[in-house]
Amino acid sequence: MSPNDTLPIQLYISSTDLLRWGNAMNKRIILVAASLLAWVILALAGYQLSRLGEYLLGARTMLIAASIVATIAIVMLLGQYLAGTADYYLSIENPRPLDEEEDVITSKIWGFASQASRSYVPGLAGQGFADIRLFADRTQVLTTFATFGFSRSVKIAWRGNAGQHPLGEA
Amino acid sequence: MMPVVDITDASPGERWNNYHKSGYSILKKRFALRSAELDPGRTDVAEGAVAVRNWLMDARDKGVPVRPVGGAWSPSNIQTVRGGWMLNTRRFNRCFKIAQADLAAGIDLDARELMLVEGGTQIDEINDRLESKPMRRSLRSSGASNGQTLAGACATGTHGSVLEAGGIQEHVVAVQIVTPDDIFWIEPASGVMGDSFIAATGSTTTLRDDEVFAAAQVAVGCLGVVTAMVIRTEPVYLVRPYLKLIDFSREDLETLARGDFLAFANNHGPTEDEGGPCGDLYFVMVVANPHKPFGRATVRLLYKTEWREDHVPVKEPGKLGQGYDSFTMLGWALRTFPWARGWLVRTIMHLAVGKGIRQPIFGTWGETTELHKPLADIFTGALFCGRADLTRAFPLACTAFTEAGGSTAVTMRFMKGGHGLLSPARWEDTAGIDFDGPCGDATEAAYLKIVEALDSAAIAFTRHWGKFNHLDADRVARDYGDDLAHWKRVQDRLLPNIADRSLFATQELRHLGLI
Repeated sequence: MSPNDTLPIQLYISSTDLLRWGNAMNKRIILVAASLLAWVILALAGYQLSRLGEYLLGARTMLIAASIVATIAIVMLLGQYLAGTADYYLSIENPRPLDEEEDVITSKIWGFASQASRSYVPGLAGQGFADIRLFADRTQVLTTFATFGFSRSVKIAWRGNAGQHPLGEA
Repeated sequence: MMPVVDITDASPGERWNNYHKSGYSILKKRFALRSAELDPGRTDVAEGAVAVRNWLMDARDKGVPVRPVGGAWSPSNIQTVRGGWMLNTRRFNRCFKIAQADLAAGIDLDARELMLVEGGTQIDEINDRLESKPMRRSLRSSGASNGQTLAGACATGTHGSVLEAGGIQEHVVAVQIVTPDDIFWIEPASGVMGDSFIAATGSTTTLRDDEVFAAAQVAVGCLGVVTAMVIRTEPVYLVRPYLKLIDFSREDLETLARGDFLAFANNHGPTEDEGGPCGDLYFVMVVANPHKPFGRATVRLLYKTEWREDHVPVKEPGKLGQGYDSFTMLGWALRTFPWARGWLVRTIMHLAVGKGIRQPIFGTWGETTELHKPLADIFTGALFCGRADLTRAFPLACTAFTEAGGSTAVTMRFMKGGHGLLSPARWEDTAGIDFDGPCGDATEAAYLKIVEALDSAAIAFTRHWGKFNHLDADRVARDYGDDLAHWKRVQDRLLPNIADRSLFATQELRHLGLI
C-alpha cells in the first residue's frame, strides 16, 4: 500500500477521540495549576528579595534598582511578545502550491520534549513542500510567558508542491 | 500511480479554506487528482479522465455532491461545496506539444500554435512552458495574477485586460469534460483535433458544435469536470510597462470610452526623454481614487514589441506588473481610520507608485503577471459594462461607493467581449471596473449600492463569477437572457439525468440558478 492509498477518513467521533480530548484537558488543567503555583512562589520570593535588598542597600537605592530592572524586564517582555508573533516564511523557487495545511507543535520543558498532533504528513509523501510558514498567535505567546517558557506552542503552515513537469509530447 | 487519491489528513468537521481565505467549506472528504506520469500526454489525460469518471460514479452512487477545485483562487464561494467531496486538480498539471498529425485532416492550423494542457495546470505553469524553449510562445492575455488554473479561470470567465483580446477562455480551442456517464471532447463545429487523437485521450463522445463549445468555454463548474484543454497561443513577445501618476480628467474618461486609447496614451504615455513607446499600445489601466475620481490617478500602459533572443528574464515581476495589487497598498490603515479614507487612498497610491516606471524595461507576458500569493481579508469585486457607458457608469459607481462607506481603489481596464455564453464580458467593447481592497462590512454594503445606482440609471452591466458579486438566479437570468437558455440546453445534453446534475448542485450554484 502506497502512502497515498490509506484508509478512508473517519467521519465520526469515537470513544478514543473523547479519551484523547479528556487527556488533553487534564494536561491543560495541570499546566495552569502549576503555572499559578509558580507565580505565587515567585511573587513571595520577590517580596522576600525586596526586603533583603532594602535591608542591604537602603529603601531609596532599592527602589531605583527595582525600577531599572522592572523597566528593562517589561521592555524585554514587550519585545519578546511582538517578536514572538512574527511570521517566518520559506519558499522554494517558483513554487506550485497546493492547499494550505496547518498544525501546532508544542515544545515542553524548555525544549526537552516536543509534540505535534501527528508525526508525519501522509498527503505530501513523494511531492515535498512548496512553502512553509512558522508563527505563533498572541494566545500562544502569552501562554509561553505565563508558563515561563515551560510550554511553547507554534503553528506551522505549509503548502505541498504540485510538481514541475517538463514539456511533454501530446 | 493512481490518478485520484484520498487526501487522508482531513479530519471530520475541518474547515477547508480557499486560497485567499475569503471562503471556506466543511467537507465530507477531500481528494486529489494527479498525473499518472504516462507518456505520451494523451494517455496521461485518458488515465486521469477515466479515474475522474469512476470517482464521479462513486459519488453519484453515494449521493454526495462534488466540486473540482484548482487554484482555489476565486474569492467568492463559487468553488465550494458543503458536506460534499472536493477534488483538488492541481497535481494534474502537465503540458504537451501537439504534432501536426494530431490535428483534424484538412484543417488550416499550425500545430506549433497549440498546446495540450491538463485540467489542473496553473497560468504560471503555462507561461513557463510556453515562453521557454522549444515553444517560445505566449498567451495573448490573462488576468493580472497567475495562481489560477486555466480551467478555473475559464470557468469563471476571468477577464483579460488587453485592448484587442477577450477573456482568458479565448485561448481555448478544445476542451475535455468528464461526467459520470461520458467523457466529452468538445470543439467548435469547424473541428481542431483528429479523431484518433481524441479517442486516445479517453474521450467517449466527440461534440463538434459551436453552441456546446461556447457553453463549455465558461462552464462555471456546472457541466462536469474539465480534465484537459487545447489552447492556441501566439509567438512570444515582449512588453514595455509604463507607470505614473496623472491628473485624470473627465475628458480622459471620454477619450477612453470612445476607444481612442492612442490619444490617451499620447497624452499620458512615455515622452521621448523616457524612451518613447517602444512598441504598439497593448494594455491600458487606470487606478482611481473613488473619493475623487477626477483627480490624481495611476495609469499603467503596456506596449507590445518583438521578442529578442538576448532578453534577460525579469526576476521581480512587481517591477513589470500588468496588474495592480491594491490590497497590500491599502492595508490595515483603511480599516483603522475609516474617517480618513479619501486621504489615505490618495497617499498610499502616491507612495506605491513612487517614481513609477518611466524608463524602458522589457518582459514577457508571463513576467508581467503577479506572483501567486495569498491576499487574506480582501474585498474584490468586478463589474463589466459596454465601454460606451463608461462615462456614466464610472462616476456613478464611485459616488455610490464612497457615499456608502466603501474604501477600495477603483480600476478600469478594457477588453473585447464574447468567447463563451456566460462570459461576463458581453459587449464587443467591454470596460471592466474592479474594486480591490481590504474587506469590511461597509465596503461590501457599498458595493451593493453601486449595483442599485447602475440599475437606477438603466446601465446594463454584469458581474465577475469568481469575485464578490451578490448574484442570484433572477439576476443571472436577467443578465444573460437567451444565452443562459442556450447554456442550459447544453447542460441538459451533457448531464441528461437529474442524478448527474444533482452531483454538481452545490448550494452556491443552485442559488445562481445554474443547476
